[in-house]
Amino acid sequence: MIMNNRYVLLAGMAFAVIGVLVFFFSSPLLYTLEQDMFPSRFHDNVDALAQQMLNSTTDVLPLEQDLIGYTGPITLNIRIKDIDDARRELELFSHSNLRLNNLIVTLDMNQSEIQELSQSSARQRELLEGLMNSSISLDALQDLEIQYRDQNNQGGLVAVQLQGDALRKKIEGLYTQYKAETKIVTDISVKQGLDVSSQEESLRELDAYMKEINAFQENPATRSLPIRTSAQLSFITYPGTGIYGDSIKCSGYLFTIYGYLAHGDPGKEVTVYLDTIPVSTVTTDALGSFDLQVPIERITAGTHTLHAESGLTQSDMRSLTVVPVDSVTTLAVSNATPGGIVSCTGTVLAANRTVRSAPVELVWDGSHVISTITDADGSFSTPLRLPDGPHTVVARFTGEGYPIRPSESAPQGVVVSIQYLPNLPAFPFMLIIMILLVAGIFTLFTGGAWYYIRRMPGRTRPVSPDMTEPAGSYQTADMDKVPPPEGMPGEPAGDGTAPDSLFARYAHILQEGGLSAAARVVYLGFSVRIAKDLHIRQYTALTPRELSQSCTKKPYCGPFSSFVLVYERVRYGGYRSAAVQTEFEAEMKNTDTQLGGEDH
Amino acid sequence: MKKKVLAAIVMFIWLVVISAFMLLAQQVDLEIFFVLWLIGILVIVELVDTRFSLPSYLRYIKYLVAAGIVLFGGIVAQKILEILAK
Repeated sequence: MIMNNRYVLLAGMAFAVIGVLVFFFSSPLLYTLEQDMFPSRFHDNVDALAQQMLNSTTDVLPLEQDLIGYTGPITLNIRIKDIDDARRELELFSHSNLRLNNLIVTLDMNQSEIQELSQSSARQRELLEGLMNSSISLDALQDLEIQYRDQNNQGGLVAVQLQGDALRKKIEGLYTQYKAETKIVTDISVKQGLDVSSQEESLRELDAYMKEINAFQENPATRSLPIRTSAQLSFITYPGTGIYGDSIKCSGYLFTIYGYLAHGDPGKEVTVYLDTIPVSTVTTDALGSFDLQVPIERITAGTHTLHAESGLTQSDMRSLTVVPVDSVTTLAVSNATPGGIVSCTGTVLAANRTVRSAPVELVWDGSHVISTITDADGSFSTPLRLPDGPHTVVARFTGEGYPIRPSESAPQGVVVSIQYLPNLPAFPFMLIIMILLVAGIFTLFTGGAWYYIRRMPGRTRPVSPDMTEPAGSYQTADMDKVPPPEGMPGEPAGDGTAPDSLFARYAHILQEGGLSAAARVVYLGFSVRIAKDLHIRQYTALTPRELSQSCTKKPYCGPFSSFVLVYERVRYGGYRSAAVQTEFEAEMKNTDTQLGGEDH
Repeated sequence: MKKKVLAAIVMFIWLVVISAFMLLAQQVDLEIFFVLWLIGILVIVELVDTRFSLPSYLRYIKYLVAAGIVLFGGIVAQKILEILAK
């Protein structure tokens, strides 16, 4: 069977191959030399190329038409300053020219007009490339000219203008040559019946371009410098280097230039900036001059800039170098008051000058920090509250933001002894109040603690069946004094009219309250005895069956369990018949006997 | 898990939290630590307290809490005296 399957599979595959070959039955020639296609010129099949016919001059005309059609777009791109497109068109122009040259060689037309057209086109391409490069240079020079004009740079402006003149002359020469070559190309093309509109267009574009660049050159407005009429602000600082506390003298002159005349501007506000922060403002005098002093205070060490501004007029930048200096911090700590307060006073000096508004940190015991600042005299005074015991206090100047190096005072020791009852001998009344207050607080909290121990939220104190408890508790030895549980018929008073034994009480309640109430009294009597025997404190919380299950190791457990079964039938089952009563009384007697009677 | 064990774990976590915050604040104050401990143990005792019986461990904890209340009264008295002394 397996062999048969193999043959079927083989036959199927053979039919599939035959079926595929059927599609090529009509044209079984799968490859010919004429159909040979090559992905690149490096794959050219030389045998196939040898068989191609290239002896027709009709192939030349389209190539010529393509060649003469490039000049128009190129000149247009040069004129509108689209240099990227111009470069691309020039590249295509060059390739087209190369193809024509190859064709000329192939066709052996070296001495023909086509050869002349190709050479003129090659010169056209060179001239257009030169025009394009010159155009780029001329644009750069014009930008530079505008920049120099803005900067009022006469020397640079003249140099740029001279270069521009030379470049324009060069462009003009290139244009003249291009016109001559274009004429040759146009004449040959017209003879061959080619469209020369692109050549004519190129001439028009270049003519317009020449007019544009000459118009820029001949504009008198662009040939001279503008007259500056805006305000000028001179600014001088001295000295250029300083330390904390030095003052920098600043002076300047605000004036307006009109042509070659300068007039001072009186009564104008001039603001001096340190870096970008205004530090002082002054008004110019009658001549337009001003002077002021800038103190070196809270400024970081290093190089900064100073300049002045008045309205929109801004002076030149001046540099200011601030050199850092060392500082000295002193501290004195007074004796502690009875409340533990000490007074910390000290100063911060830098280069023998007081440092005003300097941030000072008072550090006590190395971990607690209190911040303060110096006043206008460079001194500080701050009260400090300290706890009991010896302490050390240090004043620290960090120098942050100042051209001053940080410093720290010598540690100062102080011993604090807090008096909780100050001046009490002078006020005996206060002393009494204090003592009463303390005593009251102690009493209050001690009472709270006592109440906390004694209180039992939601819990009633257990009624112990312990025999040692006083009268009123459950005692099996004196069953007459056992108070009946709530809701149960009351026990007769012990006045002789009421029975004393359990059975007598049972008989008495049986007559008055019925079998159920009498059974309850008997059960309670038994439960008190068993609880006492088993030391069960919460026996009232147990059900009769739970109580019977608690006494498994006792000899009376069996009769009591039987008693409980009958008791449950009487109490919960509602059986009140004489037979049940007889059974209950039998079990009652049996259990009482096993419990040892009421003397147990 | 027994209430006794659970109470001990919760108390430990509570004390660790208090200590961590005190260390983060860089201010370890025994008075504050004691008061927070007292609050914690009061809450825990109330939560684990039983209704009908009083286990011995709870009784001992309550003695401890009572002593803490008395000590807290001492702290209160001291603070009042400090305020009056200023």
